[in-house]
Amino acid sequence: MIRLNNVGVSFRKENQKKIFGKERQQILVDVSMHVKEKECLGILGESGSGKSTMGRVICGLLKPDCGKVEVEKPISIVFQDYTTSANPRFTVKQIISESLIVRERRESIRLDREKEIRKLLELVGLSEEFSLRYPHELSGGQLQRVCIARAVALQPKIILFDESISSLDAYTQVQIMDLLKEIRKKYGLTYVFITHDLSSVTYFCDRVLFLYQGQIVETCEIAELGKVKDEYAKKLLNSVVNLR
Amino acid sequence: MAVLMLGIILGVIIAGIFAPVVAPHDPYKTDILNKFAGFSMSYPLGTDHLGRCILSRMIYGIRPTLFLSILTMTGTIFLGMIMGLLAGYFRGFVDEVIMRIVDVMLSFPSQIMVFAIVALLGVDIRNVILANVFIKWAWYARMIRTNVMKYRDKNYILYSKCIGNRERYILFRHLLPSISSELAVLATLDMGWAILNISTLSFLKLGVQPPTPEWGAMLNEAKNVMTTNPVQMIAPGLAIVILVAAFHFLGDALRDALDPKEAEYE
Ligand SMILES: Nc1ncnc2c1ncn2[C@@H]1O[C@H](COP(=O)(O)OP(=O)(O)O)[C@@H](O)[C@H]1O
Ligand SMILES: [Mg+2]
Repeated sequence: MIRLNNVGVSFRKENQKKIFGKERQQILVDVSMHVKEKECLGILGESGSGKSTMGRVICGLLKPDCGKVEVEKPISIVFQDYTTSANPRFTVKQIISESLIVRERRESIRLDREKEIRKLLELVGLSEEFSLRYPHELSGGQLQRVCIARAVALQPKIILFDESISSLDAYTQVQIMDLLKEIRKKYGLTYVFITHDLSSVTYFCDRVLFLYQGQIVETCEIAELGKVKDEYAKKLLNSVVNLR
Repeated sequence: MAVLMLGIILGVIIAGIFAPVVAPHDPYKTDILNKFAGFSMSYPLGTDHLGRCILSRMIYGIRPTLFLSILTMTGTIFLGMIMGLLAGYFRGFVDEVIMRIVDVMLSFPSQIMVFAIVALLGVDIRNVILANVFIKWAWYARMIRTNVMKYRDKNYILYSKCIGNRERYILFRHLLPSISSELAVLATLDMGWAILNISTLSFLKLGVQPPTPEWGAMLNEAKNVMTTNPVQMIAPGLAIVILVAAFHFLGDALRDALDPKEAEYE
């Protein structure tokens, strides 16, 4: 489904030493990974480790400096910052319609949009009356549900979640994760789940990938978390265990 | 304040449209025996050096002044918007080319450029508009590009790109509405500039030609008799100042009205 081979990404540094300097900062170093069909892969790393950059490479929003990227389309995405995820001038109906329009074009079909939107809203646990509301008239959890409905409306093969639940409160997080599990089962989707929170990964994913300073330091199945060898991954695991 | 300004502007526009109904006299009818008449019941603003009714000429003068300014603005904004959108959204090579042209355009002294173009193409009102659009679009292109850059990395646009939506949808359904409020403010503020420009050029006999009534041209005719009949300059001069100021105030009010709404959600 997804395959990255030796991908490297660098950005121009903000604070250059010389006035017209061209210093670059390496964000991703030689990243190789793959995701199997119907798998849920967690990408775990502290903030600034390059998780979002990797996400942008996967959905084709960013061209890497080097390396090969193979991703099966269609792919959809749900962001962390739901306040800018939806156009503030669009109603919920228009927000979801955008995905439907793209799907109509892809499959060369006409959809009964009203009906689809009703079904999608029901799927994410919102009533039909939300369809005429604007984003600022919704709570964070509700808006994130709309974003999930929008992502599902595309009927993608893969959905990428970039810290999609991190800005929500703990109770809503669990609710949304349960919803995502249900959707995955229903449509047989492949998930890439980016997060900095180990507990949500263990609750949700099949396999996890540890990202540290732009490098993948360890990959392991959730069931075998105890066997990790890498120092950083161990530290991360221990810190969570100690907190409990 | 905004309502008052809008009232003035709308009043002027309506008076211009219904000029034949509103104006007390024919603006072209000369009455040489009655020249430089003072204020009276039948000639509320007096008469000019050919005995024509100044009020009527003022009212008929709204048409070319406002119509030509609107035409100039539309042309400028349209060209500037297309260029700005393309440069800001596509970046890279397109951006490089457009912005270098813009840099060059903005390095010309604009008034002199207008004169040069009018001199080159001949004194004709169409050339004046062309010249104005030509010198001003670059300024708009830059403003709009800056605004587009502000929005192009918003998540909702990234989402559209990620799912492979058409560029057309992104440009016209997401980006354009997002920058429309800023565009409206700019356009209103700049309407004053356009009016001044048209009037200035007419005043310099490069724009609207006599005997067509136009405020700048009227000011020019009044200038010839400045020492003997200074009152002649009051009506067109004041009218230009008031209308331009009204557009500026309205632009400022629009900005205040539109900005907080944007900020509320960011
Ligand atoms: N467009 C960009 N230009 C320059 N630097 C960037 C850009 N995007 C991200 N970075 C840098 O890349 C690093 C990793 O960012 P990111 O992938 O967002 O991390 P994460 O999502 O893991 O918190 C950060 O240090 C950030 O400053
Ligand atoms: Mg991130």
